[in-house]
This record gives sequence, structure tokens and C-alpha cells, in this order.
Amino acid sequence: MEHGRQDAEVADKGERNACLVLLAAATLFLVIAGCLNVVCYRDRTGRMRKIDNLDHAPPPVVFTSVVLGGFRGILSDILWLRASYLQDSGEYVELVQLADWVTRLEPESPETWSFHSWNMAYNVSVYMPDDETRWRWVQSGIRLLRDEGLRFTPSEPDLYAQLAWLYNHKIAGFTDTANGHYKQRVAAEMEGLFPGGRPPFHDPAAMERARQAAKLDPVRVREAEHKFGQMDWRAPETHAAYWAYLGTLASRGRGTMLCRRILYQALASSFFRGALAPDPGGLCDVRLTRRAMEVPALEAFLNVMHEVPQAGMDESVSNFVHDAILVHNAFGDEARASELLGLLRERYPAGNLDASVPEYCAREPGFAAMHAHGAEPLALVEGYLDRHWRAVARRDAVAADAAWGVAVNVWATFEKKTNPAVRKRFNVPPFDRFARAVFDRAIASISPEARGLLERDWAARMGEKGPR
Amino acid sequence: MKRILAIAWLTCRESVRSGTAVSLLCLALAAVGWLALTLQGDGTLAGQAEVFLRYASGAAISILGLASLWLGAGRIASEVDDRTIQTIVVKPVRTAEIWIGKWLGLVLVNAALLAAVGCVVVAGVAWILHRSGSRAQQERDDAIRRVMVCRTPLAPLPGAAGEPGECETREGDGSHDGDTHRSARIAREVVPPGGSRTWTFNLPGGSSGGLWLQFAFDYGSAERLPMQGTWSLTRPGSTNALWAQAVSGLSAGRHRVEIRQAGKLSGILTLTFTSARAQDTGVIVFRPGSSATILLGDSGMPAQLLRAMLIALFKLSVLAAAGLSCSALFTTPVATFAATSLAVATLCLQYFLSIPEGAATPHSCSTHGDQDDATKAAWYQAAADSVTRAGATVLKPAYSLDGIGPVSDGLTVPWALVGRAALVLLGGYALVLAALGIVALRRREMAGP
Repeated sequence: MEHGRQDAEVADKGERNACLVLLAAATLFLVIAGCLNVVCYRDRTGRMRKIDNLDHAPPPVVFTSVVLGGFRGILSDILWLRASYLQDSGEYVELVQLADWVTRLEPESPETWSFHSWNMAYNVSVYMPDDETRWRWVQSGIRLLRDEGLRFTPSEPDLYAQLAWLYNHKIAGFTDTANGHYKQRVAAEMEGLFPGGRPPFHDPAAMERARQAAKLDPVRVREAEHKFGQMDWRAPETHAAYWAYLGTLASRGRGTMLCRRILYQALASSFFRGALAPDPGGLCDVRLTRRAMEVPALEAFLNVMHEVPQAGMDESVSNFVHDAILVHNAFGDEARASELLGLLRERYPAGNLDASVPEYCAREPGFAAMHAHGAEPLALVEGYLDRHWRAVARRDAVAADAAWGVAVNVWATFEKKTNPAVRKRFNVPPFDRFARAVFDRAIASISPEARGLLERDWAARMGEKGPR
Repeated sequence: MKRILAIAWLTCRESVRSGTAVSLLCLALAAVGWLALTLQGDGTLAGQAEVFLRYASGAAISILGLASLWLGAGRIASEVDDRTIQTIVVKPVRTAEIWIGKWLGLVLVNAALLAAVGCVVVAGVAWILHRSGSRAQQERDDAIRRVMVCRTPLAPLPGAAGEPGECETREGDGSHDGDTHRSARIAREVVPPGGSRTWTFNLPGGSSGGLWLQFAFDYGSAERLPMQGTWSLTRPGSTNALWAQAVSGLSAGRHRVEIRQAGKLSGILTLTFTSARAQDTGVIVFRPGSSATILLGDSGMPAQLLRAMLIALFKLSVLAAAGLSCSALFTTPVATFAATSLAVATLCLQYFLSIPEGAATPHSCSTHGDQDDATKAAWYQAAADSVTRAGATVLKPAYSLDGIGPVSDGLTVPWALVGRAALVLLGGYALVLAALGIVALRRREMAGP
């Protein structure tokens, strides 16, 4: 009996020890699991995308994000499939709405915003019968990104790049046959917000209106102007530069290379055509140069080159500098042209660079014909016309005649090399309208005494129907 | 009949007393209201109203459909569970009368809710079209004419060119017959540069609501280039155009043009489209099955929405019947799960059937792959095809019965469609489900301890 009790005690003790061991093991595993969980959580948090501004998001987005949870993806897929089906069927009425819902269901995904914005601005707009309807779709694409996408994911440089690209390529570029209409609509909208294309910094209410309507942050606008110089905010290139600049600031500079590339492209375009000609009768569609943009454009080019030295970039920079030399020379700014030629010599030593600026430019008689699109030849014509009227103002008939001759010659070469359809797409105005725009700009910056001379010269030259 | 009506009345009363009907109404109206305030359409007023009409009606019907399913699934099973059904079964009432009475009660509740939703949707459309805003008066008038009037499509008469439907196309069989049909289809849908295509219509006289021409271009080889040409209406054998309209800059998709001199046009008329495309810019392709139609504007949108809501009510009735039959078979949670699964499977099948044939065909297995995998894949494919085919045979008649879509597209819902919906949905699906539910209910133990 005693023996049996001892056996039972031993057995109990054994069981108790086994339990203790198991308990200790369980505790150990629990601690290990807890430690691993911290690692896993950190890893998951790093991988997951989060909405930056859920606290300030509208109630529907918060509702769908929190309540639907993982089912948001399924609902988003269903709506996306419907959108694709309708688009394939040529039914576009619901697409804006569906894009809005899909993006609100997945606001943390920049690809979703990018896709739907691109789809509306590029794929759908081209199927629209008239320019105004096309513009509505392009505008829908811009609004989706600018007003909604960037609100939820303000630190995604890709979204800034996409928006800047829409302004720089779709509106400022020439690939779309309705690009002239887009430019006019952007200019009209911005004229209402920034009269004359200049931000009214002295009027906080007006700046606030611009923030509401075009999402232009007054602080950033001032910053951009400080960095790149005064810009004409009616030009789409300016908006492209602004959004690309904001993209470079997003995400603490990480992953912003695309934005920086678009930035130099937009600034370079602004140099050639970044100003709307003054027109007392309303908005003028003639685009003139903004030569002050050359410095920030070159700086942006060189910054990117410094980080990513590539052969293609070298060519882009040298082409831009080359064109800038020709344009500065056309305007008679030999000093700046000479500086740029020095830069070419220093960075890209090659043949034909030892010449002086006039000699260097004289070797490029086919400049106007070499460029497929209209901006650069027009910048050249503008330069020579400007030089002509300044020569008239100082009564230098020889220089005036020479400059006029070159301007007319370049224009004629350009017209000869391009057909009317191409010129229409590139919004090339008739010579008399273009010359008048340059004349108005020139006359605004000279003394009142010299104005009479210019008026007489205009009457004499254009009264005979000019070069035509 | 009195007994059925009494049970139906009890069901209605219970829905009201329990707050279910009011909650559903609030939920549906909240959805409609939210959509009225937030929907933006394609940026135009007409587009906004059309999208609202489609989505608000769709959302309300979806909510009511889901509620019908769940209410039906919980009705009998919960009464069996809490034994309240014993108060009915001890009375001289047949099992069929219980089932039908409860179903009728749910249908009546749905009818009342749908009527309320319909009124709110019409009011919402009117509010969108008339509310003050920055819209120009011309745009507002155009939108009202486009959205508030429904038009009856007039089918072209069988003619030399023929129309899809009369001549079913058969392709891909490689036979001479298939080639003939393909040629006929090309002749019917493709207009070469400078060529033309004709349709013949018999226009009824005395239509005061206006005439519209609706046509649809398909994506052709030169899809990005704008379609351009001239539409004209002539008497047969005459070259004098009674009406002509040049169209340009149009893209692939559906388009609508108003025929201005509508009052003068009646009788047999030939509609001609002449392509104005240059030789090097490609053919113009009409969309198969919906190339060109003349629309008679003869009815107000609210009246057509009423018909659409009737079709929706028939669909809700089928869902209620499905829920009730599941409820007669299972306990409450199982019945709810089974009814929901049935609805989800039906919706998935509808989606699969909407995918064009061949688009979802998987790539054939690589010859380097495992033979077993290929066999398994083929077997799964065959099984899935069989299930899809069987489901399609059973459910396809129901899928084609849509009233909301045509109304939001500005088309009329003919009474014939409403009648067909009643026949198919009530006389077909609901009847089968009723038979199933009644048999199950009869076999169910309802007087347990």
C-alpha cells in the first residue's frame, strides 16, 4: 500500500515536471513568437502602403477604407471590370464616375490613380468628336490626379510626375490635334485666377481662390517663382514645371528622377514658348519666348546629368544649349550666347566650336528646317523681329533691314518645310499676327519717342502685306 | 384566397412593426440621396442625370434584393425555431397557403418600397436637371429633352442589305457556308471609303414626340481616325433627300442625332449613310446588331421607369421566393447562407456569360508540361463549361430582362417586355421555387417539443 502511494507520488511528480517543462517551452515559444511578431509587423508596415491623409479624407473614403476592409479590392475589381467593358463598348458616360469610385476604394495605390487619369486624358479623350468634349476628358484626368489623388497620397512622386506629364505632353505638346484648344482653356482658366499670368501675391483672397480652383499652393508658387524666375502661369509648361518641382520635394527627394526630368523639359519648353503674347482684345494664342527660363532649365538639366550621367542626357543638354545660343543670338544677346558657347566648348569639345558666336550661328542656316516642331523656329523669328524693331528704335536702318531679312527668310524656310496641317497642329499663326505680337511686346518696352518710329515701320512693312 | 391574404397581411404588418420595412426604406433612400449629391457623370448635365438614374435605381434595387433574400430566408425558419409558426399550422391552413401568403406579403412590402424609391429617383433626376448652377440654359434644355423623354426603337425592315438577326452569322467553321455568311456580314457592317449603306424603315405617322437616329460605329482598322459621312432619308426610288445630316469627327461608340423635320416624315423611308472618308483612311465599321435605328420619342421617363420598376419587382419576387424556399428547407443561418450563395453564384454566372466567347479561353498547355496537368486542366475546363452551359440554359432568360438599363439610355420599356418578365420570372422561376418550398415545408417537422 505504502509502496503504491510512493509510486503514485513519483508519477504525480513526473507529470508535474512534464507540465512545468511544457509550460516553460510554451512560454519560451510565446516570447519568441512575440519577438518575431514585432519583426513581422515592422516588415508588413514597411511593405504596406498607407493613405497619407486618412484623417482629413472625406467620410465616404474613410467609410470604405475602414468598413469594407479587404473587400474593397473585390469591389474595386468589379467596378474596374465594368469600366473596361463599357470603354470597350464605346460607352463613356459612366467612366468618370467609375474611375472616381475605383480610386476612392484604393486611394493608397498610386498606380490606380495614374491609370485612370491617363485613361481618361489619353485613351478616352481621343475618341471624342469635338475639341471641347476632348478637353472635358483631359480635364477629368487632371482633376482626378490633382484634386483627389495628390490629396490622399501627397508623398508619391510618381503622381506628381504623371500630372506634370499631362500638362507638359498632353497640353503643352503637339501630339494631340486639339492641343491648341487645351492651351486656350488652360490660359482662360488661369487668366481668371492670375490676371496677366502673374500670381497676385498681394491679394491673399485671390491666391486662396487659386488654391481652391487649381490647387496652387501660394507658398509653393512663390517658392517656384523664386527658384525659376517669373513665369507666365497661363502657359501649361509653367504648370508642368510647378507640379514636377513639387514632385521633387515629395518623399524627401527619393524616387523623384522622373519629376526632375520633366522639370527640365518643362523649363526648356518655357524658354521657347512660355509666354502668351499681350493682347488687349482678349487672350492671345500666340506664344512667345521667355528667355529668362534658360538659366533654371540649364541648371535642372545639369543637376540631373550630375546624378545620372548618360549619353542620351549629354545629347539633350548640348542640343538645348545649341538652340539657346541661336535664340540668344537672334535677340542680339551676344554676351549670353557667348557664355553658352563657352559652356559647349568646356563640356562637349568638338569641331566647329572655336568660332565666334556670329560665325557659329551662321553655320546653322538650316536651323528652322531642322526642327520638326514649331516652337524653336518661331523663337528664332521672334528674336530677329525683336532685334529689327530695336534697331528701328535706335534709327539703325542697316541692322534693322538685316534682321528683318533673316526673320522673313527663316519664316519662309519653315513654311516651305512644313505643310498647313502640321502648322495648324503646332498652332503657328500667320506671319502678320505673329509679327504683331512681337511688335506689341517690343513697343511696350521702348521709350515713347521711339514708338512713332516703330508704328511707321510697321505700317510701311506690313502695309505691303509683309513678306507674303 | 382569404387565408393567403390574411397571412400576407400578417407578414406585411410584421415587417412594418418590426421596423424592417422602414429601415429598408431609409437605407434605400439614403443610398439614392447620397448618389444624387455625389454622382458627377461625365461632366455634362445629361450624363449626370443618366448615371444617377441608372445607379440610384440599381443601388436601391440591390439593397431591396438582398433584403428580400435575407428576409425570405429568415421568415419560415425563424418562426419554426421560435415556434410561432405553430399558431398558424394548428389552424385549417394548407402548407401551400402559408408559403404563398408569406411570399405575397414580402412582394407587397417590396412593391411599396419600390414605389417610394421610384418616386424619389424621378424627383432626384428632376432636381439634378433643374437645380441652379453654372449650367447654361441651352445645356439644361438639351439634358431635359434627352433624359426626360424615352424613345421607342424602330427596327429596320428586312431589305437587300439585311439586318443582323435575320441572318445569323456563322464563322470559324472553315466551311464554304461560313465564308458566305462572313461575306454577308462584311457587306452589312463595313462601309468602304466613299461607299454607302442603306436601311429601310416604315415610320408611323402622327408621332409628335420627335425622331432620333441612333447609330453605333465599331472599332475598325483606323479606329483613331474620326468617322465622317452623311446620313440622309429618302423615299424609296427617289434621290431627293427629305432630311440629311453630315456627321464628322465621330469616334467608335454609340451616337444619337435628332431628325429635325420629324413632322413631315412617315411611311416607307430609306436611310442611307455615305462615307466621306478618303481612300487612304480606311473603312467605317458599324457595330453588329445595333448599326442604325430610328427612335420615336413618344413617352415620358417616369412612365417608363414605372414599367422598369415592375420588372424589378418581379426579380425581387424571385429572390424572396428563393429565400423562402431555402427557409423551408434549412434552419435560419443555413438558409441565409444558402440563399446568399445562390444569389452570388447567379451573379458570377451572369458575369461569366457577359465575357465574349473566346476571351476567357485559357492558353493551351505547353507540350513540355506534365501530361497529367494538361489532362486535369482539360477536365476542369470541361466541367466548368458544362456547369456554365447548364446555368446559362436555366438563367439566361432572366438575364436579358432589364428595365433600368433601357430607361437610363432613354429608351422605352415595352409592355411586351414587362409581360415577358412576368411570365418568365413569376410563371417560371418563382413557380418552381414555390413548388420546391411548399414540398419542403410540407415535409418539415414544425411541432417539435
